[in-house]
Parts: sequence; C-alpha cells; structure tokens
Amino acid sequence: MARMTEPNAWQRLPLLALCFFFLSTIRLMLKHLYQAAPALAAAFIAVSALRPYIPHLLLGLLVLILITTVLRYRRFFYATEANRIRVRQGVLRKVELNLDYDRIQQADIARPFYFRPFQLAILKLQSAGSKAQEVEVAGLRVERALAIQAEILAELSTDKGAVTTDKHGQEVAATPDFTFRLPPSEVLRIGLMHNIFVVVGVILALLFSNQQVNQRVQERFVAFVEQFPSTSDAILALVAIGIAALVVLILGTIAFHFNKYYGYTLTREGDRVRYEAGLTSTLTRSFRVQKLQLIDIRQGWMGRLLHRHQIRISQAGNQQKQDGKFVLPCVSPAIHKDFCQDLRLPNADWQSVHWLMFPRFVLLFSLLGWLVFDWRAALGLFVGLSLLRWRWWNMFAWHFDGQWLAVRHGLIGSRQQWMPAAKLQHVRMSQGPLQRWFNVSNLTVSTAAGHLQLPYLPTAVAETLQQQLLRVTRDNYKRWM
Amino acid sequence: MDELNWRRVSPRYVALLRIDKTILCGLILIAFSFPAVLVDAIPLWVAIIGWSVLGVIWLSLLFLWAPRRFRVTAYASEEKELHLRVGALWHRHTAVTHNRIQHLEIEQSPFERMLGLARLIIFTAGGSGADLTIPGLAREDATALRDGLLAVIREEQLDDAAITEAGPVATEPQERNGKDD
Repeated sequence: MARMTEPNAWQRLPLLALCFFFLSTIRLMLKHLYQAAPALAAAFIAVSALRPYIPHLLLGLLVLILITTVLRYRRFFYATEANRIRVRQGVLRKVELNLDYDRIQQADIARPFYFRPFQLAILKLQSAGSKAQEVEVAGLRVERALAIQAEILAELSTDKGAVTTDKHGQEVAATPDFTFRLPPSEVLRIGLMHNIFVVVGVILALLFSNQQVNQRVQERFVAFVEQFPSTSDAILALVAIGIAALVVLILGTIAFHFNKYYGYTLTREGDRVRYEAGLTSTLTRSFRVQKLQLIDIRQGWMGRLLHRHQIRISQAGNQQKQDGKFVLPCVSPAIHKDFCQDLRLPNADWQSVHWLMFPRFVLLFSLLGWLVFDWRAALGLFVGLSLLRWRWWNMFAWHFDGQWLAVRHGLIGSRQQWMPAAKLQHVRMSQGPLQRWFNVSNLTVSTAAGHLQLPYLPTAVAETLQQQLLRVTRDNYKRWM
Repeated sequence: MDELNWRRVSPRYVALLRIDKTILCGLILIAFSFPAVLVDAIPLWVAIIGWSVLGVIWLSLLFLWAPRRFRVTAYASEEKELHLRVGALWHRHTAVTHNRIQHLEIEQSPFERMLGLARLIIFTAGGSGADLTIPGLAREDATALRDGLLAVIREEQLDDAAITEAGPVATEPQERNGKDD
C-alpha cells in the first residue's frame, strides 16, 4: 500500500524505550529459561566439564539480551492515523498490526518507575481479536499517551454518537458522574484479602517440582533438625520459622499490593470508566461501559472476614489474563452498593438448582476410597464430601430478570458472575443419561468474555431460560462490543 | 416459543460415523495387537479377551451408537436463530442468534468429500474455536445454509445505542420482564 511507504508516517520510540525492551527481553528470557530449567539443571549436573564456563555462559547470555534489546528497539515503529494505530515490530519475524480504535476494548497507560522521572509512559491497548491481541507502545510522552487514550475512548462518540457520552466533547473537563478513592487504610487490606496459601503453594511447588532442588531441601531439613537436642525443640523451632515466614510473606503481599494500588481512584464520566493507581509505578486503565461483557464479584474467606469484595470487569477477548482486567481491588459494602447501582445491576432474586447437584461425585469418590483403602476411608469421604457438596449446592444460585443473568457459587467465600443477557453469544443445553432420568439439564451461556454455567436446572426451566435469553438477544441490534 | 422446525442431516452421515469409528477401532486394534502378539509375557487368552471386547465395542458403535447419533443430530434454521442438536447418550442443544454470528466456514474431510458431505462451522465471539458445527450436511445443503445466513448477516443494521449503560436511569423505562411464567 502507498501509505505504508510514507516516510513520515512511521515513528520510532525515544531512546529511553531501550529500558523497556531490556526489561521485557529479560522477562521473556526468564520465562523460556524457567520452562527449560529441568533440562538445564540436568545438564549442569551431568556435564561437569561445563561448570567452569558458567561465567562465560552468563556473559554470553547478557550479550544476547543486549543485542536482542537493541534490535527490538530498532525494529519497532508505530503510526497513529485518524481512527487507528499501527505497529510494526519483530526481529526475525516481522509483524505489522493494525488496530482500529473501534475494536479496542481497554486502554492502559502504565508509568513504570524508570519512566516517571522522564515523563514517559507505556500505552497498552487490548483488542477483541480472536487471539486477543495486545499492543504495547513504550516510551511515549505522557501527554501524547493520554491524548491517544482520549482519542480511543472518544472514538465512538465523535463518529457514531453513542448515546451515553456527554455532549460537550472530550476537551471539556467534565465533573465525574461517579467516583471513589481508596484511602491507604483500604489499600492495606488488598494484600490481606489475597489468599496467602496460594503464594505458599506456588513456593512449595517450585521447591518440590525439581528433583535436584527437592533432594537439596530434604538434606538441609534433616541437617537442621539434627542440630537440636530433642525432637520437641526442633518442632518448636520449625513452627516458629514457619510462622515467621508466613508473616514475612503476608507483609510482602501487603506491600506489593499497597505499591500497586496506592491512591486507587475510580471515575466514570459518561460511559468512560477509568482507574488510576500506583505508588512507584502508576497505571491508568480505562474502558467504555458499552464494551462490558462480564462482571465478576468475588469474596474470599479473608474478604469475608474483612467485609470486602473484589470486582473484576471483562471486555471481549481478555478472558485469559487476570492481570489485564479492570479491577476494583477492595470494595466496601457501601461502595459495592453504589457501584452496582451505577452499573444498573438489579437486586438479585436468587433461584436454587435441582437437589441432584448435591450428591454429585460423592458416591463415586466414596466408592473409590473403599476400593483403594477401606470402608472407614469410604465413610470419611462420604461424610466430608456430602458436607462440601451440600454447602456448594446450597450456595449455588442463579438470577435472571430479562436484562441480567447472574450465577452465584462458593464454599467459604462467594463468587458472582453477572452478564448483560442481550450480549449472549451462544447458549448450550446439555443432558446426560442420568439427568434425562431425573429430567434436569445443564445450561452453558457464553459471552465474549467467558461462560456462565448453570448446571442441574429442571429441564423445563432450562428450556424456558434458553428461549428467554435468545428472545432478548435476537432482536437486539444495539452495540454489544 | 413455537416448536422448532428440526431438520435431520443427510442419512449418509451414518456411513461417515461408521467409517470414522472403524478407523479409530482399527488404530486401537493395531496399538493393542503389537504388544499382545510380540510380548511373550502376555498370555493368549488376554489377547483374545482384548480383541473380543474391542469387537463388541466396534459393533455397538456401528449398529447402536451411529444410528442413534444420526437420529439425534438435527438443526433448525429459524427466522432469527440457528439451533443444533447432537449426541447419542449425552444430548447437547446449542443455539445462536443470527446477530451474534461472526463468520462461517465449510469444511470437508476426505471421507466427507467421498460421501458428498460437509460440515458448516459457525463462529461467534464467545469462547475459543468453533461454537457450532453442523456435521453430516449434504454439500449443497451446507452451501445453501451458509449463503442464507450470509445474506441475513449482510442485511443487518446495527443500532447506535449500547446495550450496557451506566448511571441513573432517567425515567426508569422498565423493560418487559423476561420471567413471565
């Protein structure tokens, strides 16, 4: 195309963007190296002749990283046009991406600590392609990044006149229609709300995933225990160390999230919602309400103790990456109520599902317990699983009011997923032989950001719900993304 | 809602299912027979039981499962929706409205080409891969169905209003409640 060869169209990033490419190359390399870790460890053990050359290898790696960084920087170009952004990148495999503003689901401006003194930022754009592409343009001047973001968010309103945007145009700094800011005391809770045992699990998995590391850890452990005069002393010391490690982990998690979400401020102007947060590195993330596909309201066991929820909002295509979602990390009951009201979520009228959901898996696993162990194991499994399943069934509920479909489930905490019914992509009713006997069916409702599962509905209810969902969708030609 | 106008797929679909399952059973037979014949530790009676079980599975797939799957497999092309029903023991009924279809594909494997059959694959924005695959269609039916759907999609006029909006509703225009039973 003629436009492609225009000499001025393509712009290079400022030299400081090298920092970004350097860090991003290291991140990529670590990812690949981590996957190759077992092979590398084996090579390290097996080929003892290699060991003296480790410094050389590391030096070689550093040179490789530097060359890659420079090449990636040299080969990166971007161009902004009236309604789209184009990016050309790649060292060996060159890729040119054309992203229409209309297709962008979410626009982020990240200001990492190494860019902040220079007033530079990274623009991250997520599109709703089949592969959910993400474009990152690093090292833009903050004003430029903000201008592009504003252009993207205003795109639909200037050009096709979406109904909910303000009539004054984006230049006028309007007062927000909805806003709230998390004070530091709330931000401190975010780290607490995260399930620390997930972090512990990951660390333990890392320790025991590799045989060499595993063996080393065991040897250290035995040597440590043998230092003590008696077993009870050793246990006491181990418990103390365990608790101290947990405290350090919890403090670390709190500090990490405090840094990430410090000064969290959410605002909605018209149908543009954005949040800004961060202490050392800041992030501004924004999307348009008309692009909303799924709202996920979660409360873990810690969140329940603290009376706080977490809300995540998904747009089309970004179902995989949790980190890329629009998030309200710590939501008090009052804000929860206001925000849901602002998004026009109704008060749920929860309906339960068929009791057949409750004994699912219980008999099967009890029988397995009997076969593998004995009747006592089977009995224990039966009682334990029955209690768990009963709780699960008791918590499981769904809601449909003609506009929103919601599902709630959980054991100790709870999770609610809400979807605008008319944004349905497809709906599937399925039924196994046993379910046919009891006349129940499962319903899977797909949105562009994930599925809602409604298992064990009485077949008549499932059929009616399927028809109602299709009815609200089939005549709805409003913008759904 | 009115009864759906279910249409069966081509009867040649049964033959296709039989070919597919025969190939699968053949591969399993080869994978099982090699060790059964070559490894001395496996006694002959084990091999015979294995072969018999596989034979029974093969016959039931051919004469019980395939006809049943064909009987269940049907599609309904309604004015604004497309429905598909598949399965033999586990039934699945998937529905998609015309205004959510992203693109369409027709696929043919060598055996399908031999039998004059085709699959129509319908993609929406929900989930990865194909959302709706109508198997066992006669080639001309698949093309006709695709062209019909394409014509409908081409006619679509998008509204400028958005489905999801935020902020207080001006006059509370409560839409008709969907739960009316």
